[in-house]
Amino acid sequence: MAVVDKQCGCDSRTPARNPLIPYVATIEKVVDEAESGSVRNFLVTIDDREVHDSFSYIPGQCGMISVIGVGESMIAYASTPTRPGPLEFAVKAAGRNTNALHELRAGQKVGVRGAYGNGFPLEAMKGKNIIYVAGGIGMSGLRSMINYSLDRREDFGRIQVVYGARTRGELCFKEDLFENWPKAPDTSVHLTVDVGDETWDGPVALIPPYLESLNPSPEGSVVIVCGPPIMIKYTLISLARLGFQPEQIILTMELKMQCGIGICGRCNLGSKYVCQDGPVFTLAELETLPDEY
Amino acid sequence: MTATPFPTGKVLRLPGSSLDQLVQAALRAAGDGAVLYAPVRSGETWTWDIVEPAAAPKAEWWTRTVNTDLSPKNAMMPQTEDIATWRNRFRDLEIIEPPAPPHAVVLGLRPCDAASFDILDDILYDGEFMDETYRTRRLRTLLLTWACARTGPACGCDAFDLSPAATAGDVMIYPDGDDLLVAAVTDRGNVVLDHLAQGGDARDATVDEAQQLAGTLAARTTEIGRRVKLDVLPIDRPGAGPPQAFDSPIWGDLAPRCLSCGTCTYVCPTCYCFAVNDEPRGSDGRRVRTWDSCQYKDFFTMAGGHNPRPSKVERVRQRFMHKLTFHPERYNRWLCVGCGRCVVACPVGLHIAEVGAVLAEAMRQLGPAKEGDLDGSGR
Repeated sequence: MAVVDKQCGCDSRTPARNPLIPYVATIEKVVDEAESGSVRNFLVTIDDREVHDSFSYIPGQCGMISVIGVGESMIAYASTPTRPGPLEFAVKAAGRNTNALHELRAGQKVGVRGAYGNGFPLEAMKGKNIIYVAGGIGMSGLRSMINYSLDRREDFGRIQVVYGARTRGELCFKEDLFENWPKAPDTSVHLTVDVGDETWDGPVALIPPYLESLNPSPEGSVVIVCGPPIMIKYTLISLARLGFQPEQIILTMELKMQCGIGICGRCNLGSKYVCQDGPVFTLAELETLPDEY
Repeated sequence: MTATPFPTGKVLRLPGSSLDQLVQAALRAAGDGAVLYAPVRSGETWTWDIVEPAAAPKAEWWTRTVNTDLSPKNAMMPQTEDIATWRNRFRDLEIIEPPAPPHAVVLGLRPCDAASFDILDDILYDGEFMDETYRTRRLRTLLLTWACARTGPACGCDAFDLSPAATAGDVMIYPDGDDLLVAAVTDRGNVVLDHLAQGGDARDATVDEAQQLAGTLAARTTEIGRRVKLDVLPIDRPGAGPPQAFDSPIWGDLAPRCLSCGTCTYVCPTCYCFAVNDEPRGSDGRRVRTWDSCQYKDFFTMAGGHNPRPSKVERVRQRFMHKLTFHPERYNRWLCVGCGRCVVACPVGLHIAEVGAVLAEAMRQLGPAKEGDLDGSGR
């Protein structure tokens, strides 16, 4: 039923701000999250304090960050709502807007809008062991959820972080990986690199075989996977081998997006829009959709 | 999906030669400073634009002409429009909302085109997020829908549950010889008729009269409609659509001749996909929304170069399945009104009704829906 009352031309909804118009925000701080310098975390505050303080999101949701005059990029929040403060966007320079973003420094302005998408199924994950599996920049999609689960530690079982990158220099959120997360209760961090060097004394292995060698138990667990398509493909094979069911496997998807609100027509998988119905899907849900990712 | 009922509001009879009185009544009803969208000719092409009322076509035009070459969707969603403008001063950035669009009247759009706005409402108006500029235009625009006196060879409204006299918009205009029967569909339409009844050449007419004429006009069928009947909405078979249709060999058969010109999407009244681009000018600039096309490779190309729909096979499939499968699954309506513009405009003869017939046949062969279809195990 149409909300617009076509009889009278009147409208029961309050006129809203055009969702495509970003809020002006200020970069508070830029943090190099990987030793190679390829990933920068932008900590931003919306200039309108009232909007910033009432900004609501959950882990796994995304926001649009814009270099005004260049473009917009849909990025998963790297911050967690359990820690009020700036919104964090950890960004690798990959295209026009993200390259322009990497040129910006603290004090400069960006546009911000969101939060978009469904986020992680927090209720369904309660009480479960969580195995986070990330590859490369994919960690930026999980960091919000990892910190959320550590801040609400009693809500979840055992936490394992399995993370691989090409080299040590590409491992993202180094302070969390080496300092913060290993200290958290009942939490283990397992790092691997594709190519070792003299500064690396950890395992040198691709993520799928490394994950299998850790032999995580599917019993009472969910696994969240985020990374490049090729890593996801082989990780899913390994997870099946370890006995994980499609319902236990959670993925975050990424397709080209421009609106973030399900109306520009780019990011559909069949009848679902990644920006609005996703980006978080269980493997069981994805298996019902056309394989176009 | 059921056909829309005939209007039961006020009805007036107006000589076709007095069409300008209806236009004036509608402009008054639409509100202060209302503008008029009407068919305009540009070279050999009929399109829609804002015109002075005196420059609008006369009533005979609608008798002569099946439909415009371009659709009137620009009245609700201009090809290019500002989302916002910005001013950058030192470290101060100001983002400015554009002024509200004017009140408007669209004169004489065909029932298929008027119905296309009901379809766009599902996406841009009734969704979780409202498209504010579309919403404002929709609320400020009166649609005067002109039932078709004749249909063209590419017409196929009746394949999509519509008819040459389907009720849509605020006022229906039914041609009756040299007269027009003007019937209010909405309360806003009633206001138009109130204005029209004040002086001028309009005479009272009955609802029965209008319904009888509407019924006669609506009962006509098109050649495509007789051949193709898209009676199996994929919504009735969730999960059955994509696996069966997605892997159909039809996409590989159609794609080689597609030119990726995107013409089909631009002439389509229901194609709404858009792009957002920044146009800087010094330290100021504007962020614009423009029509875009799923037939262009870059439409789907991500930063870093990955493209999930890299070839014409995927892109042709995306367009047709969006209209005939994905959209109906989500919104329970076809994303097509059978206006036939893409059929006429396509340089290589890709025909949506023919594709629809193939898809519908595939659905029929699946037989009645089963519980198990929901798990998509066909893939």
